[in-house]
Amino acid sequence: MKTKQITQLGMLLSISLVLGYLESLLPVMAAVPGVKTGLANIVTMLVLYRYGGKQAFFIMLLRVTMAGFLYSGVTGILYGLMGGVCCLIVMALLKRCSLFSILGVSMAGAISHNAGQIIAAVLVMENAAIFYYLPILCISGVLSGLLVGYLSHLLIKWHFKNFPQN
Amino acid sequence: MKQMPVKKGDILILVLALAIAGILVLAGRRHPQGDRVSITVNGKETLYSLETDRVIPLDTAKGHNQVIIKDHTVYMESANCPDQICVRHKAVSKNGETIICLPNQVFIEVESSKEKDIDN
Repeated sequence: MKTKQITQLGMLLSISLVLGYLESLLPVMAAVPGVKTGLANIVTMLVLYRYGGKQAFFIMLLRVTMAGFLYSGVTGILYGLMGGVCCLIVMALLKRCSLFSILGVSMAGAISHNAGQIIAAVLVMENAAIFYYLPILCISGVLSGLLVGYLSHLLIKWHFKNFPQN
Repeated sequence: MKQMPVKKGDILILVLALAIAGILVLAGRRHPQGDRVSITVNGKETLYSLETDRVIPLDTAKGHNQVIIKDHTVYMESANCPDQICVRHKAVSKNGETIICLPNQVFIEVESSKEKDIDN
C-alpha cells in the first residue's frame, strides 16, 4: 500500500466516523432497534468501488471498532461487526456480478447488514423471537440502500473525475 | 435520477426483499390477545400473568429496567440504557409481541397459554 493511499484511507475513515456520529444525532425514525440510514456506508461504498474489497473491509473493521469505543459500547462493536462483515461480503460478491448496479449492491448490503445484526442479537439474547424484526429491517434496508446507493453513485462519479488514479 | 444505471438485478433485489418482508409479516400475523408475559434477563426466563397489575423492577449487572403490567398490557416504564428504544416502545398485549432492550439484554414477550406461537 502506498503512503498516498494510506493517507487517503485514513481521511476517509475519519469522515466515516463523523458520518456515523451525525447519523446518531438524527431522531430515531421508528422505535425499532437497527433502523437507520447507514450514512457511514457511503464511505465504505466509495472505498469498495475506488480502492478495492480488502481496503473496504479494513476501513469497515476500524470504523466499527472505533465507533464502538467512542459511542456505542462493546456490545455495539459486536453488533456492528456482525452487520459490517455480512454487508461487505455480500456487496463485494454482488459487485463482481455484472447483473447489479451500485443501487442493487447497496440495497443488498444494507439488508445483509440488518440481517447480520439480527443474527448477532439472537446470539447475544439467546432468543429467536427477535426475528420478528426482520420484515421491518428488510424494508428499511431497501430504503436506506437506495438512498446510500444513489449518494455513493454521485460521490464515486465526483471522485473518479477529480482523482482519476486515486 | 438521470444517468442512474439501474440494472435488472437491482429490481430483482428490491422485489425479493419486499416479497420476503411481506411473507414474514403475513406469517407472523396471527396475534390473538396474550394472557401472560415472559421476561428474559441474561437468558433467565420468568413468567408473569397479564391479569394482575404489577411493577417489576429488573436489576442486573447490565443495568436497571422497570417493567409495568397494567390493564392487560406490558410496557417498559424506565431503563438506564443509552438508546431508550425499549421505553419508547408502545405497550404490548398480543401473543408474540415483544419489547427488547438490547443494551441491557432484557427481553419481554407476550404469550398465550392457550395457543402456542408458531415459532416456538
